[in-house]
Amino acid sequence: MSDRPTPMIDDPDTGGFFQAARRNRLAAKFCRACGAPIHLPRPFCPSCRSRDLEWRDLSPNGRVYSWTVVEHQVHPAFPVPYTILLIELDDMPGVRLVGNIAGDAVLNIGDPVRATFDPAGNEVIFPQWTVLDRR
Amino acid sequence: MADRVGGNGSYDEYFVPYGLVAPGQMFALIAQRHMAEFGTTAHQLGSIALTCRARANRNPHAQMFERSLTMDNYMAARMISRPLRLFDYCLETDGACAVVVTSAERARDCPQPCATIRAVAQGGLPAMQGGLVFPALMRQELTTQPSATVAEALYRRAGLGPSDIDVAQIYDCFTITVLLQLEDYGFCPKGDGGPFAAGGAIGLEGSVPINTAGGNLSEGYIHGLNHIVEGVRQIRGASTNQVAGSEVCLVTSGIPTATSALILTKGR
Repeated sequence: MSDRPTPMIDDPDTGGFFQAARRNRLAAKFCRACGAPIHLPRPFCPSCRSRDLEWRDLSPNGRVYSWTVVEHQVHPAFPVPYTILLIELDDMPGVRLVGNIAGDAVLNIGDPVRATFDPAGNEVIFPQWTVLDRR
Repeated sequence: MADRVGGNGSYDEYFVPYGLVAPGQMFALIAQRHMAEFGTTAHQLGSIALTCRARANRNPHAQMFERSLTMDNYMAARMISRPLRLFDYCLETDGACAVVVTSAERARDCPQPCATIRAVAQGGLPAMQGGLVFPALMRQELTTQPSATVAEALYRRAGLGPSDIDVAQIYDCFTITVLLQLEDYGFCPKGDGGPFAAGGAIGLEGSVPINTAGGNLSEGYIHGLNHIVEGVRQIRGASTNQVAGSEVCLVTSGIPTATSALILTKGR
């Protein structure tokens, strides 16, 4: 199996997400002036044009907003089947992240998920997702 | 060391490391959401594939001219990215087409009857997101696309509405792309695209026959330019699936990016 694609972690706009992941936290960028979440992150606030922005930690809990089981292999590093998740964060309705889980998952929209993190020591750490028991 | 993905405004670092690497996977996420919100079914998506195929079966230049498609074939085909199956995907095609655009005055003097460009529009949504296609998953609504914005401007400029459209060439990289646009261009209410398509409205005898050359799904994938060529044929009365008396044709282009559309009318 070839190496999985590794995210760039030091982009000026998005680097804060991966710095937070090194601390085992999910984070999103917010505007200090108007309070709007800026997701995906940009260098200024599209609502009020302020450049006074900050990264804030978020709860690692979310819910499945949509999902697909990939059955036709496109990339050599991703053997099929695997399941791509589109996750809406509990803290921030409207803020979504993508994740994946191995295999052909039996899922429903609204299922609870939680972010976990690669072991410390990996050079690049980015959130992984676990589907929790339905409640 | 493996190459790093993303950065520089692409936002791929949020998507590609999770195996989201193809537009069809993104449209599968959108289709799944449409199914959950509105009860859309695989059979309804299949009705779009079958409609385009039936048109291609009467277009000798279509890649799928000689290959019929039944609902059993559609449902039995392998899953690519659930809920999208093989025939929810467009073709890959080597081909070319061209259109000649000139002034209305000059066009009247040409040997072929002309189609008039009644109106054009291009646009996005208020909060579009950057990057290429995957960031569209972060927009507030997945089931309303930039085609809704474009439709409003297009109809206003044309002085026409959806009920004036005799025939439509709707960009169909996937069946779900057609379904979303049937709603966004106002042929049916949001969420009703599935029953609307499956009920025959998009067939040759329906209220808005679509993709009369077979579309990207079954004629060939020439990036939608073939839709403009077929639109001109419909206005000229030269289609192999001619819609009787067609004088107004809508032609649309791709989503989820900023998109565009035009309305062709009989030369006048």
